[in-house]
Formats: sequence, structure tokens, C-alpha cells
Amino acid sequence: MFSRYSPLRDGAVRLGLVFLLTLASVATMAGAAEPSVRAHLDRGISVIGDPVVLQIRITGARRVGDPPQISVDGLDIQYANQGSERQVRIENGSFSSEQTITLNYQVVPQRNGSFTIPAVVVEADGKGYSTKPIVLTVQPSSATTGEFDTDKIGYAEIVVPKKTLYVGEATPIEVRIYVDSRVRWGAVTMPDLGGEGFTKQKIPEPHKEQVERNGRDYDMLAFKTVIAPIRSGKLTVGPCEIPFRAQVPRARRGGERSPFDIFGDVFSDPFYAVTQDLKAKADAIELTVKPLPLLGKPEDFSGAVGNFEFSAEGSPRQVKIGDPVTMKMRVTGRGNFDRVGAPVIGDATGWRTYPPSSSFNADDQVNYSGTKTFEEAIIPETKKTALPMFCFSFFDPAKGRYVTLNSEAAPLVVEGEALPAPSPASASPESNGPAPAAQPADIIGIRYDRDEPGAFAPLYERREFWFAQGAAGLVLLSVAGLRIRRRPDAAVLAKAALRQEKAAAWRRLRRTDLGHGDFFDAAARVAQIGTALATGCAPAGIDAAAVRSSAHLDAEAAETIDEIFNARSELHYAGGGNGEGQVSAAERERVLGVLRQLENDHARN
Amino acid sequence: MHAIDARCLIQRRVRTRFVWALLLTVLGLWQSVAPAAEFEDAIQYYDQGKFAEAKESYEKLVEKGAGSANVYYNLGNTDFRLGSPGRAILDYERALALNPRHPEARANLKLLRDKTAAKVLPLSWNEHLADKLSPDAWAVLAAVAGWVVLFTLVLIITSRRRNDSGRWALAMFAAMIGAAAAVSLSSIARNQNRAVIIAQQTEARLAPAQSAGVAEALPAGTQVRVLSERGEWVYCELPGAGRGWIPDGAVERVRPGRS
Repeated sequence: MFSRYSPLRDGAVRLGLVFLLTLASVATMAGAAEPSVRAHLDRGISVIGDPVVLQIRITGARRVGDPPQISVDGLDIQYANQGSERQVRIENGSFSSEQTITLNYQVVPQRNGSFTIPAVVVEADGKGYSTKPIVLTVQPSSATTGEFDTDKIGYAEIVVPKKTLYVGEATPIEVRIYVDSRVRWGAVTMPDLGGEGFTKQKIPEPHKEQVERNGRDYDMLAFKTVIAPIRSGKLTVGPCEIPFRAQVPRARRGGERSPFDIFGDVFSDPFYAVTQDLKAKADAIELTVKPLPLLGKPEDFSGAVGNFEFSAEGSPRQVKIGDPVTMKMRVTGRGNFDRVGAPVIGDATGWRTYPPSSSFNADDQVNYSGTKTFEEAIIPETKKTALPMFCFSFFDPAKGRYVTLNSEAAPLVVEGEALPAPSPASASPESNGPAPAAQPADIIGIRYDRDEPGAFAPLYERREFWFAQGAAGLVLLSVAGLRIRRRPDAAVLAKAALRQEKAAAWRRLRRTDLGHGDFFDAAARVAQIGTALATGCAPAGIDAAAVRSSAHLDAEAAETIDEIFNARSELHYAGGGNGEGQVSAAERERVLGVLRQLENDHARN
Repeated sequence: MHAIDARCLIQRRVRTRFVWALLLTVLGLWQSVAPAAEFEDAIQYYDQGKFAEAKESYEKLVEKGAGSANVYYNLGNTDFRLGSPGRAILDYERALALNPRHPEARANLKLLRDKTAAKVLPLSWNEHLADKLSPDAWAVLAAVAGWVVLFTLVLIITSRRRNDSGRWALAMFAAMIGAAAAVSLSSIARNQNRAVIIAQQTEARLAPAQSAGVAEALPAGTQVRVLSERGEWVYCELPGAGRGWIPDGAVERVRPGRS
């Protein structure tokens, strides 16, 4: 948003400024008084290396001379800078103005002790003014330092309310981690409580709070659980390491941190912090576990140790014989609820009882306190005037003895005669199904049909099974043997014989001493067999035409084939006048060439 | 004279053989009828509320080798009525071992486990798979699949056919079925050592001694897996994924007579 330029308004602003400046100068003149000089430390206690700011404030002076040098043995005092401020006041209708000039020094303690910074003389408006001496205490403590040793950022401890327990006694335990409250941090994982000889509950989410320890503020994270020793003797819980991630301040470039750093505290400055994974280790603690006494141990003691209260109520209060009464029994308190067993009936005479069901409502996250509720169906088989008494026994570690609590025998009205024997009609097949809906908590009735007896040994453990496998194995071997040794079929044999014959004919053809008739006879046979193998026809029925049609031969080769077959026919049927003569080398090569061409063509096709 | 004697002798032999045959027939009939009568007696006792007598009858049936899924199931109901939920759970487990699809045994087992807060061993994925069929069915499946693979391989190797992809596919399929069956059988074999806590409440201990520390509290009906035995103590895998020693009398194997 930009405002439009207005000459009228600009002039008004200028006029206002001139007025204010005039007022200020008048006020300065009116307020001119004796200057005052005062020295001030930003804190009176420090540690070695931790800089402190010394300020010399000159009020009411217009000019100040050069900053004086200050030297104190054990302190390194260096002039840093100068600042000024002006304050305008209206008193009794008139303006007054006061200027304050501040000379800033950085004081770095170099050893422990109490140091007095002496009176410093400052020149103001041409005159010398003196400050009062001030004291700086340098103490050997890390409580106020800004430098961080990562080992000292945080620590952990294991806290138990008591160190002597009984076997089975549940006791709350806390693993606490303390981290300097100026550090940003967070726990990475849940701690793992080391040690043997005790059971422990799952650790829920921890709670965080700020506490003060040894004069320092810490963020404290407490992991709570409950342990219960399972054997007597010395029990060691821990040690325990809690990993956490912290933004640890790091040293700045140039060494010491300046006290005049306008960016303030390094702890809130992520550029001057580095994220580190650290661990806080809590030392182990030793507990003494005493065995539960054998003397006075009630028969119904189920192992419950703690401090409990017991109540029981039954409903309905008016029933007929055979009708169930539901007893609701509550055990409330603190202790090892996993060992709190169902209360037992004092005198079961005339009562039919069933195993109870139970549920537990914890009051805390570690199941240390709460209420365990048991529901048990009891059925009066005779006339009764009161509910039966139920007993619950536990060991009270505070008193060091067993306690048995009894429920109240509340009045009950039971009507009807003694429970009749089950009717034989119940043996009918209709009763095979599920139990009636009126008693859903009861089991399904028996089966009246008899089935075949069974064997627990699985099939693979029985001999018959392995006999069957052996038989199958024999069949497999037989099949494999038969298939491997199976004779080849007649067609394969015939082909093999033809190949052998053709090879023999070729061998004959290669002989140079062969007569004319024998040569053409062998050549015709090679052509016949080759064609027979290629076409699948019987060799005897193959003539020159069949050979020619079985392959792609040129005209010359086809003519040679005809010659071969004619020569053989002549030899066989016309007396073979030319049979005794030798075949010329050229003719021989021509015939063999055609036969090779024929063979190659058959192979290609 | 001699002819008459010979005839008498033959008649006597025939008569003797007839008597023997009759005796054997009666004995055979009695053997098949006796368990049925025992079963009926047990049912009658149960219906009359005479649970101790019913239990005795069912146990006699088991001793005679006539223990069937229904017999164990009824014995479980009887034990429950007698106030032994641990034993009842054991009986239901046995009924289910003989017939994994016994619906009543399954229902009652669940009910009793809820009532007694009995713990069960955690089931691995192969045990879930094994639960789909009975052990015998898995054994048959494994055998059939194995032989199909072997026969198919023999056919492929001895065949002159160049393209046997169909046979290869069959072999691969059978191999997969066989592998699943083998995995199931391995978990079934492991579960042959399953046992049940029959005592009302017992504790698994870290060593075979009463003075040893408690490893885990085991309510009646809790499933454990027997690993070894030492004197009067049984070393078991516990439902809480730990191990511990349990007194011999407090635990009984689901498969009777196995050690």
C-alpha cells in the first residue's frame, strides 16, 4: 500500500520536526546539570572464562573522554564499545532531556576468587568523575557456565519406593532421566530395564516435568513400570541406559562467546547447536527379596501379594433349586493382580459350582492398582437360606503375614424340592445340539452317538503308510526301467538299416576299381535310399522320376539321374553289355557330384 | 464195526469244529458289542449325574482302545462336571486330535479356556497352515504330490518328446503342493509333544526344583510343549515364549502314551 504524495501534508511534517528539535535543544539547555558516573556489572558471580559485562554509565554529560584502561590482577578487562541514549521528560509543564553514555567492557575471569574492580576516573565535559569500586566473585562451579560437557547434560537414575520386598510383591519403579532444561532433547526409545529374577510390566508412555536439582533446572522424563521379584535373595535391577537425542551447544568460532552478542542465548540458536545421540545411564540398584513365610500360608493362597479388599454379591436373591445364582466378586487394591486367583467357596455342600470368569480394570497404566472381578455361577442343589461364604487370601507385605478375607453370607431364598436326577429323555438325539440359550456360560452337552475309534499316531508314523510308499517306489522303478530299456520301433529300425545300406553303397562308389555296372547299381541304390529316407517311401518302388521329384535338381543333374537308372536297368534287364568296363574318371565325378547334390537337397528339405 | 467207529469219529470232529466256530463267533460279537454297551453305560451315568462312574466307564473305553473323538469329548464334559477343567481341556484337545472338525469339542474348549484363563502356545504360520487339514490328509497329500513329481520326472527324462512343458508344469505344481504338505507335516510332528496343564494352578520353574524361581504361572488347561524329561520334572516350552520346568504330575501330553 502506498500513499499518494501530498505537498500540504509534507510541509506539516517538516514543521512538526523542526518544532520537536527546537524543544529538544531547549530542554537540553534547561536540563544541563552535574553529570553522574556509575559502574555496573551485569552479574556479580561468574566462573573462569565466562565473560561478564562491565558498564560505566555517564549520565548528564554531553561529551566523554577516551575510555580509561582498567586492569585487575586475575581479570582480563577489555574495552568493547560505547553506546548512548537520550531521555526526554516533561516535568511541571516543561521539557527536560538527559543523555546517558555507556562505556562497555568485557571482563573475563582468569582465576577463582573475589576481585574488586577499583574506582575508575572518567572524563566528562572536561571534568574527571570517579566510579565506586565493585566486586566480582569468580567461583569454582559449573553451575553458571554456558559451556557444555555432553557427559554432564543429563543423567538418569532408578527410583524404587522400597528396597526390601517379598517374593511376588509388585512394586512400582521409575527410571528417570534428567536433562538440562536449556537443551532441546527427546528420548529415542523406551529404556530396557536390565536384570534377572523379576517380572516387569510393559512401560507405558513416560511423563515429563521440570524439576530443580542441585540448583539447576532439568527436564525430567519418568518411565514408570512395576516389577515383581520371582525369587528370594539379592536382586539387582538395572543398570539401564536411556538413549536420547539432544541439540548440544557447540563452541563458536573465535573462542570465547561475546557477552555483547545481540543474538542472545546459544541454547535457542540452532546454528550454534549440533544434534547428538547421547545416552544417560542409570546405575543398578540392589534389592533384598525375602521369601514368603510358610507359616500360616492359607490353602487357597494363589500367590497374591499386596494390599487388597474383597467384596462379593450374588444375584438373584430368590431362586428355585437348580437355578443359577451369579456371584460377582471384586478384589480391589494394589499388588500383583496377575496372581490374584478366584476366591474359593467356603463350604460347597449343597452347591454346584462352575469355574469363574475374570476381568481386570486397572487404575493405572502398569496394572499395579485396580479391581479384578470374578463372576461365578453357583447352583443350589438343596434348600439354602444364605449365599455361601467366599474366601480370598493374600500376603500383606506391610504386615508381613497372610490375610484371609471372607465375604458376607447374604440372605438367599431358595424354593422348590431337591434337584431331580436328569431325565432319561435327555438322551434323545435332540439334545446333541448346543446348550440352551438360558445358560450360555455352560458347556455343550455330551454326544450320544458313538464314532469309530481313532489313532493318535499320524498316518506317517504307521507301518502301512510306508509299505504303500515302498510299493509306489517299486512301481516307479519298474516304469523307469521299462521306459529306459524299451526297444525302438520297426520304423526306426528300418531307417537305421537304410542308413547303413546307403553308407555301404557310398563306400562301394568310392572304389576306383568298380566296374561300370556295379558303379551305376551302387549309384542308383544311393539315390533310391536317399529318396526313401527323405520321403518315407519304400526304396524298392523309387525310380528316376521319383528321385527327380523329391529334390530340386537342375536339368543336367536330372538327366544324370535318368542315366544312372537307365544304366542300372540295362545292366539288370538287358544283359549288361557295358557292365564289365571301367567308368571314366570324368563320368565318375559327374555322377558322384549329382548324388551329393541330391543328398544335400534332401538334407535341406 | 470199524466203519461205525470211523463215522463216529468224523461226527465228533465235525461237532468239535462247529463248537469252536460258534465260540469264536460269539467272542467276536461280544468284542464289538462290549464297547457299545460301555459307551451307553457312561452316557446313562452322566445323565444321572453320576460323573465319577461315567468317567470310569469312559476311561475303560479308552483303555480298551475304543477311544474315539466322541468318547474323549464326553470324557471332557465329565471331567468338567467333576471340577477338573484342566483335564477337561486335555480331553477336548484329544478329541480334536482325533477329529479336528469336532464342533462341540472346539466350542467347549474355547469356553473352558476363557473361564480358566488358560494360555495357549503361539501359532506360527505353518501351524496355521497345518490346521487346515487333518495330519493324515497332509500325509496323503505329501505322498501323492511327491510321487506325482517323481513319476513325471521319470516320464520327462525317458521321453523322446521335445516339448514336455505340460509335464513340467504338472511337476512344478505337485512340487509346490508337496512342499506345503511337508511344511505342515513338520509342524504337526513338532506338535506331537504338545501337553496340557491338568493341575488347578501350577508354576513353571527356572530349574527342576521346588525352590527354583518361577518362570511363569500356568493356569489349568494351559498348553505347553514338552522338550525333555528329567526325573519328576518336565522341561517345556511355555506360552509366554519362555521355557521352564513343570512337575510331572501337573502336565499331561495330548497324545497319550508318547514320551
